[in-house]
Amino acid sequence: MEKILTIKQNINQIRAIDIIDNLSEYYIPQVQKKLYYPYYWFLFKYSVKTIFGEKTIRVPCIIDMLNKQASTVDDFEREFIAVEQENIIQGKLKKLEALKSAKSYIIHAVMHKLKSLIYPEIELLEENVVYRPFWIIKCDRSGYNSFKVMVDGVTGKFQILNIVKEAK
Amino acid sequence: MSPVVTIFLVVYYAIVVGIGFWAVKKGAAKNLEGYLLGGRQIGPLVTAMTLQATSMSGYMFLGAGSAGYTTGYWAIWYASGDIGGGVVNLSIIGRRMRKLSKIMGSLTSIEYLENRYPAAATRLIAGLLSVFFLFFYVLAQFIGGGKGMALVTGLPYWVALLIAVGIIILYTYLGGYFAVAWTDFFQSAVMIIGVVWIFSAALHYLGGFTAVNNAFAKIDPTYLSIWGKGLGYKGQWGQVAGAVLIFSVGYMGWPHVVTRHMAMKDPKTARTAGLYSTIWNLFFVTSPYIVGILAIVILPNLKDPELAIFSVAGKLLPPAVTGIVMAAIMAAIMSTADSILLQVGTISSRDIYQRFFNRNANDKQMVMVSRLLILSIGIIGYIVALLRPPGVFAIVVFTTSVLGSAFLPAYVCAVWWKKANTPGAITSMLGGAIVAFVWKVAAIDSATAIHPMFAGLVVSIVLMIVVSLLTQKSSPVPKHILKAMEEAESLGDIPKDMVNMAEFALNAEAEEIKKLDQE
Repeated sequence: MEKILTIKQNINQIRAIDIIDNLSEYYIPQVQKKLYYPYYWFLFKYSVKTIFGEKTIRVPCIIDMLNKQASTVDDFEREFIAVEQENIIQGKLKKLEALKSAKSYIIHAVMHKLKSLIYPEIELLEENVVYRPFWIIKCDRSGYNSFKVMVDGVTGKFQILNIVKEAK
Repeated sequence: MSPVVTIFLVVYYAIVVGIGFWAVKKGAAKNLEGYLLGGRQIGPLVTAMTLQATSMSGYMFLGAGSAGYTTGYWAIWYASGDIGGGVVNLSIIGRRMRKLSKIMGSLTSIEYLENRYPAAATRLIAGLLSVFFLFFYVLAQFIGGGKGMALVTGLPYWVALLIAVGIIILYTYLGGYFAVAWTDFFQSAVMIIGVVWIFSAALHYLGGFTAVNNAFAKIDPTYLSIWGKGLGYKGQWGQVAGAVLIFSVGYMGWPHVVTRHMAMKDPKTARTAGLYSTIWNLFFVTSPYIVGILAIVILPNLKDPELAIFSVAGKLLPPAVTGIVMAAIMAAIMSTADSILLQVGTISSRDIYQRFFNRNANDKQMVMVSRLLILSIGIIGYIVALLRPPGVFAIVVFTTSVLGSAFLPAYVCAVWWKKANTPGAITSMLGGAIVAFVWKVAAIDSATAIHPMFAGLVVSIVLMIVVSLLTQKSSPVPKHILKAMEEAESLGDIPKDMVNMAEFALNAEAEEIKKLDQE
């Protein structure tokens, strides 16, 4: 078991199954495992001087530790929990590289939203590695290919993973 | 214009500046952060209105009115394409393109084209074409801003244009255009009320559509025809097809810049906001054209048809309302201009400068490149708008024709045709752009009765198909792209509801989990 910082789970196993069950008539969904996906989370103070005075905002950014993709992110609750090692996905990205990507992305994203071409002052306020829970669910139906779905344990949103051909 | 109009114009700007000033103060910081983070804290109605405020441009207020005023009911062909544009866009490429673009990790649409059609030339050609033609679109906003300002203030056009261009460049440089949800909401609300008011006042003044049509029968019955004034487009289905295509699918060719956001709640806001936007579009898209048509009867001797909507407002609305509505319209024009300028800045710095001239360029250098380019566009745009100002309608139709012809087949085939390869895409982009450009500049459209958009699109599609098929052996589509395309397609046995409800934003994570699953 390893203690990790996670984004607080809102969707439990029953709810995750329920979400998929409602959309997949005739299939039987079953949870296979719960995986924890790694992100670097950075909170920046972003300041630009404008004719209306200095705009200062806090902008959180999250970097996917596997594929380096950056996004802005809503506020979220965090909690430390103990998780089986095999259910934790290991990140590949180094912190400095993630920080560079995050800063660059924040400048791009905020400039576009603010419609401003002023180079900002950026200060890192907080940082952490956080893990997001995903339920991995397999859906079976007699005589058909099975398929796997991942359900976000925070929002309940899901994405289809693949068709499992051997089930036929 | 009366001094009351000017006073209320000033009052309006004072209110907007006041909201902007309030928004940068501490008390409104949460609002600004909410706006930046996908508008989740401001609700669907404000989000929808904010989107509308940024998408309304000088075209709607000057170009569409002018089209209605000069051609009569023929202009509705353009409106019909515009109404269906969003739906066609979403259903043909929207969903698949968003999915493929996320799988490939593209942040600008030009980056997406290069990822799908791997070659440096793809990015260079797409980037240069975009920057060149977006310049014309900005030019249309400059002219719109200058003309509107001249009409409202009574200043000579060259002074009004200088002020309009100066303000646009200045606020882009000095901190953005009060880009806070509530100012956009306020402006959007004023525009909605304004457009509805102008439309209703004009219709009421003329006594309804039957009276308007009777008046046309006396002035010139051909205004009532689907072939335009003087039956100028009679039997020219090539022109009709182009007019409908231009805003229904032409918009798909527009380059765009995306930002990613990770929601921590089920983002119902986006869906509801989309519904509000669509309803608003249905009404708003047709109104400016119809006001232009009504203006034929209200102001039959208008010198500049582009000022049809402004002039109808000036004639029929109380001066105070005219001042406020005109200010909102001008603000919309300027707001569109700075969005496009920033788009040009991003494309030129990220897709051209960093990619081809300085791979190690840091963010500060990229901002400098964007600033220099935007300043150059401002200066060149001012000179062109001053010396030979083309019509706003003509510029927007021209720009959309060329961009649509250049990029539409490349975008559509990127997700729908697995054989679409790099040589096919490059020749399609170049061929489509050149044909649409030359077709208009050399006035081939008048000689052949075929719209430049229609001609450009046909050439672009043919080149994409023929060149791709001829070069399948020498330039096969890379396997990783075929795999990404297969991912973007629906998944066999999986229930349709499930496929439709799947969340694109989780694609990157899904890809990684799939890889781990296969190991």
